Amino acid sequence: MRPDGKSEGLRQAMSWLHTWSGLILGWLLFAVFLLGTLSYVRDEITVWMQPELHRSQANADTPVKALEALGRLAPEAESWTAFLPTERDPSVQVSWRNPGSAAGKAGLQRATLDAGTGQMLHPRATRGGDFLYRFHFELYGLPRLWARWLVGAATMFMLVAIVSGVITHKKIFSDFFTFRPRKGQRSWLDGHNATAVLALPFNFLITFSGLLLLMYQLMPWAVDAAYQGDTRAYFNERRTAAPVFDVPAHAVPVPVPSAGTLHSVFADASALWDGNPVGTVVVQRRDGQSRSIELREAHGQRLTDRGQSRRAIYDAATGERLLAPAAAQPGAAMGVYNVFTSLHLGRFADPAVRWLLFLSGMVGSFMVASGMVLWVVKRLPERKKLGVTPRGHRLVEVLNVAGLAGLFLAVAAYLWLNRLLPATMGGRAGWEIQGFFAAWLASLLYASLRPHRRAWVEILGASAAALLLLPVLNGATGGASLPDSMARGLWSVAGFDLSALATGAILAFIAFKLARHGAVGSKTAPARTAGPGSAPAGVRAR
Amino acid sequence: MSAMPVWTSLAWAFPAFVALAVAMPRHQEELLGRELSTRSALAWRLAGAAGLGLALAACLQAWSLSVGIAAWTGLLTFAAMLVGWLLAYAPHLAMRLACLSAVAGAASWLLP
Repeated sequence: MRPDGKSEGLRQAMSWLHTWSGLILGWLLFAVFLLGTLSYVRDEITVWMQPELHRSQANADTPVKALEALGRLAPEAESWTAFLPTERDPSVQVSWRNPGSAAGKAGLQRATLDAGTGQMLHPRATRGGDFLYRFHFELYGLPRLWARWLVGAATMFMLVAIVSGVITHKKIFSDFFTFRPRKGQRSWLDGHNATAVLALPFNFLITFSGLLLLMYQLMPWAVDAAYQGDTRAYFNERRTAAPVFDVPAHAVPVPVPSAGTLHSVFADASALWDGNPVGTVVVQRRDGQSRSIELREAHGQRLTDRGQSRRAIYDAATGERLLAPAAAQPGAAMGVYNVFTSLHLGRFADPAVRWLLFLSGMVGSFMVASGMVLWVVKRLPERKKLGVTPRGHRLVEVLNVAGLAGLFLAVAAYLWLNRLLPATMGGRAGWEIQGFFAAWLASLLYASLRPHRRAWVEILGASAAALLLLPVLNGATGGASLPDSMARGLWSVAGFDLSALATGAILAFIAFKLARHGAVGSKTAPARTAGPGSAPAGVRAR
Repeated sequence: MSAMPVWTSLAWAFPAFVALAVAMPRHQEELLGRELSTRSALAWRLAGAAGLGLALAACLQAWSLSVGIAAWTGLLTFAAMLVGWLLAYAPHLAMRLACLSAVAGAASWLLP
């Protein structure tokens, strides 16, 4: 029911819901969306933030070098694990478990190796892409449970905003390809609609699967009831137990599997998996001797089994294949859960699909941001009529600049500090994160002191400059420079630098357009909307 | 996995969306310079649907069913955005680019 007593149609009611559910948690949603998008490339970000790894270059002998290094580092270990270089990480990550050490992850020792030489590398301390990834679903410095509830609530609002937005949108099909540039509010609405409708499958998928991933926390009752509160039993039941394979001791001791054996088992596994590469090597050992070699596929090919990788086990001395278990088939409900959540996590994704997810995430972030801007732009005529800026409008303006443009500045500051702080400085990982929040807070203060349009232009401009200079900074502070990384096919680093350039160019373009036209709800900008009237807040898409 | 299926699929999805736009009365004037009869609009719509089907086929050739469908929906987003952008800024190019793109899509299947 409206204040003026007229009855309200479904579309108006939905429009109201869309506007306000979107506004309340919009800034948080933008952070979740943008940092979640960056999480698709979190390994690449981490590698970029450890320039010590950039020289590592894999070759056919990498597994041999890695196991030889493990033979030197941990001759007595019960097991060795080597994560081989991928297109996302050029280095070899190894871990081992010494006899008598604690169970689980606590008992593992780790090292990072150069893929070409097997030499140990000492990357600088950093949280890398993991900080951005963690922030996108549990924020920072808050109790984990509360933060997840908050993000879960924001995700729920997002789902509400998507559904109510579709109902509100009158001409979803006839406006399908419509974008009318240089028309102020009209253009913002077209842009918001286009990014929302055309990317609707992604937007819906990512929001819905985000809720599914938080499901066990938000709705634990079903699992609690069926498993009498023993959640661990539920997850254990879902996990397929790894078969323990006992290879008897060899007559001739094998401390480290020979190069010949390794080459033959790698060739066998690759043939077994239709050419899909080996991602991980696990060697089971006893009394300082290697007994079996287990190879795992680099990444799975299907969504329904959560990209579970195939495995094969070999005798460490002869290279004879002992076992190649078939991947488990999940049930239908678990299959659906797996499809949605694997897409969200990008588990299976080869580079082409990962790029697609990354770009879709950027489009989604723009959709959220354009909605926030639209709230301000739509109220310009009303405000012009009023003659003053209501305090609430000013608050939204300031939070828009800090929450949208300021977040880019914060990420840029995080990356810059990674290279400007000394590599051996104590607590440097923490300082990088402090820098992220300091830049974000500074942009909030700055936005509250400057006129609205100037604040947009200047913070976007600063973020653009910081991002455009990242490839230069990378080359100057020990990382692989762009020509070098491209020539070597080091696409994790080259892709990062190129994406930084592209994002910086887009931000610079927006800042440039704003400086020239000032169409984003500035106090001085002429309201270049279609009709002269003050469109009531509820009327959209017309 | 190479990036080839992405380009093949896009090469089909883009002209498919142009055909779907041609089937819409709103865009007929700027794309064809005339209005279409209901019958020929329906033909364009069917052609567009077929193009989207070919784009899906390209994805399914390269990926498993689940990844293929997911990649296809993702690619459709960008193909449709390209059409929207062209209609806003360079509508006269849309038809010509669509023809070129369809030829490229066919070529990527015929050539090994």
